[in-house]
Amino acid sequence: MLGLYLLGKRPDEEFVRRYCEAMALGACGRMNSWDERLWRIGLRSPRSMKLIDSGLAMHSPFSPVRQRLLLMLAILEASPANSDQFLPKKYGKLDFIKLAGVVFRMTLAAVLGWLVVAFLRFRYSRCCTTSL
Amino acid sequence: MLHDFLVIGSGCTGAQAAQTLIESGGRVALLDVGEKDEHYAPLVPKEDFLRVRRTDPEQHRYFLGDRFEGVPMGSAKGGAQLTPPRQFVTRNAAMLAPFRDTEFKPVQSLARGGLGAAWGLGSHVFSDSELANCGLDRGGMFEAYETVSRRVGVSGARDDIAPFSLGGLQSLHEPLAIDENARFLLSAYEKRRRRLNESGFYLGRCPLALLGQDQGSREKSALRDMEFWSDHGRSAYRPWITLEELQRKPGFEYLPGRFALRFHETPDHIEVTVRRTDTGEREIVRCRRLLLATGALATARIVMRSFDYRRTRLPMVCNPFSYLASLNLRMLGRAGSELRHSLAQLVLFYAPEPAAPDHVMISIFSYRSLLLFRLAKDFPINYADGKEFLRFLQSALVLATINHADFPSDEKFVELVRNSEDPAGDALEGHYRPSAAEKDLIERKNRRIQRAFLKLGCVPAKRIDLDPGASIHYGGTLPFSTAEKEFHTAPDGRLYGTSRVFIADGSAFRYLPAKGPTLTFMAHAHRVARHALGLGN
Ligand SMILES: Cc1cc2nc3c(=O)[nH]c(=O)nc-3n(C[C@H](O)[C@H](O)[C@H](O)COP(=O)(O)OP(=O)(O)OC[C@H]3O[C@@H](n4cnc5c(N)ncnc54)[C@H](O)[C@@H]3O)c2cc1C
Repeated sequence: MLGLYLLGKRPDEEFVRRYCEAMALGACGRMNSWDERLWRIGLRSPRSMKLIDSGLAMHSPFSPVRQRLLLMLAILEASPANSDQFLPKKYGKLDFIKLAGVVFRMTLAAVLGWLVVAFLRFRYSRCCTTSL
Repeated sequence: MLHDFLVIGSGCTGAQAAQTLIESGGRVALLDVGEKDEHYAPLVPKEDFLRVRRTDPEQHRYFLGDRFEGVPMGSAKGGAQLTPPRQFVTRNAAMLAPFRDTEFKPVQSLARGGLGAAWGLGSHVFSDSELANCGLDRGGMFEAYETVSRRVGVSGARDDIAPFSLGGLQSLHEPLAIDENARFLLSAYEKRRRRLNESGFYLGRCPLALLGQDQGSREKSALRDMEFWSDHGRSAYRPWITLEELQRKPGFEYLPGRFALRFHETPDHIEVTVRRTDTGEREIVRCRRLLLATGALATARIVMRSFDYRRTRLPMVCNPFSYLASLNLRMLGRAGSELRHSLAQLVLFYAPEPAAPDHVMISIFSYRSLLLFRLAKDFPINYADGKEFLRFLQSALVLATINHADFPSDEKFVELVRNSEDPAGDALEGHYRPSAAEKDLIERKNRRIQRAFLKLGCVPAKRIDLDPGASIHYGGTLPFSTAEKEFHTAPDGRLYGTSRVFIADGSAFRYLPAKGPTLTFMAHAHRVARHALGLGN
């Protein structure tokens, strides 16, 4: 799922193994119940992960959820198999149009993500106070 | 065994002091903890960055680290550019030389080569007034600068920043080629030079201890853009290069694996108590003359202990430091230069009054070899689109580090706190609270710098003011004084209260101008070594 979200394709087994290895080594911070809730929602689909990631990028940029995504991004980047998706390149006209699409999607995701995370936070804090 | 000279520390200053002593026929022992990297260095191929990225299936091992220690998880900190192959530089420092957590967050090293095993090579000569503010005189330093630059190999250009960075330095290699991003900036500067100069801005190539021509066994930089990962060709000056050369000379002995705790002077020699890092046992090393080159903070610890904690609080100076990310609009959509180095391409000086001692130095880098994920972490956007977006921006990114001058004050000091649980029985604590007026001045200067970037065609995107300590330039713990005073240093480098202990690192610099201080630290170490030999200037 993470590879699909970050690269738009299923990553090779090797990257998944490396990610699991990193997690076993404690590369990311521990999640609390709030983080776990967001993580579970994110894992439903690349779209929901984008909303959670975008929202957290503004609410809590170094949260354990974002740390896991950053870790996977780093693992995918540090490989010749994906280098062409990360190294700088010369942009042609078509690339600029694609990029405009990326910026539009990114802005939309930021607005929606901010709202979604704020709403989930509100519900989570209400449910915590009620259970107390 | 009684050594003629004992140098503690193999960083930039210790290595230079030891070389001067050996070249004058002295018998020298050099002692340090000597952490080194034997794990990653053999993994990094001698290829340029793009080739490595496209071909090496093992790259994740050194780019991310075998324990993924190269994936930074928090906000930007000083020393963030310490990649897995460079992280040995700070290994064990927190354990053996603990620093309590306060607002002051230094980077300390117990490595073979010290912080110099990872330094950014920016090499600048201090002006006469800056030297005077530090407590140094120009006369003696002139020759010292030449000697040290010849040894380390400094490349640079006699352009608009030469009056700020090079002084009258003669021993200079050809400047290295700058990348496309920097070329655009320089041409924008040339078009607006008069106006920028009138507002106090001067731009030029950054002098670097990176070879512009072959020197002995060291190769001219091949512009592989791998300086953050490896030392192939030894083009970048690292103090361990000097150490390896010294180890081949008669009269030199290297004593690694020893952590110095304190010294005690007897009428005819000095006894240094060290703890062996392999067995934990205490050992006494004897010498006739002692040169301390452990860096301003570690030296402060050793001296306070040696004087039986008679004073536990010493002053300190450290350049205030910020990162500024901006976008060079003319680079958007371009791939950038294939061959380049990773270090500062240019340096911008903000000197509204060129003769005044409070310039600001802005080192300008292009971004590529630290990989995109490190950049993505600091942008408030989702990682999936962010990767595409930052990929587009990366060749247009201009990353600047801003260093401000620092003067001592009562609110900037280190304190040695005794605690039997710490391995050496104490821990250092740093306090750094600049006055409101100082903060305000820095903020005003930072804003003017951001405006100057606009004039150079760059749009400032984000500035991060780092915690005190992040500049990794430390000095002033045992300041120079012409009057004999305990916990002060005489102009010849002798520590007052002793007759044969010399301070060879930056501890005596009671002021730090807004410049990389290391070339000057090294020149000073050379001079102190000459004094220790009884040769004076
Ligand atoms: C990433 C980075 C980039 C930098 N960029 C620049 C730059 O561009 N320009 C610039 O001018 N400066 C730069 N610096 C700062 C520069 O590295 C330091 O100013 C310089 O290396 C200090 O040298 P030193 O010899 O005084 O001390 P250190 O480098 O700290 O060396 C200390 C030595 O003493 C040893 N030691 C310490 N304590 C003990 C002890 N108790 N017992 C035994 N041995 C001990 C250590 O093992 C080490 O060998 C940078 C630093 C870093 C980390």
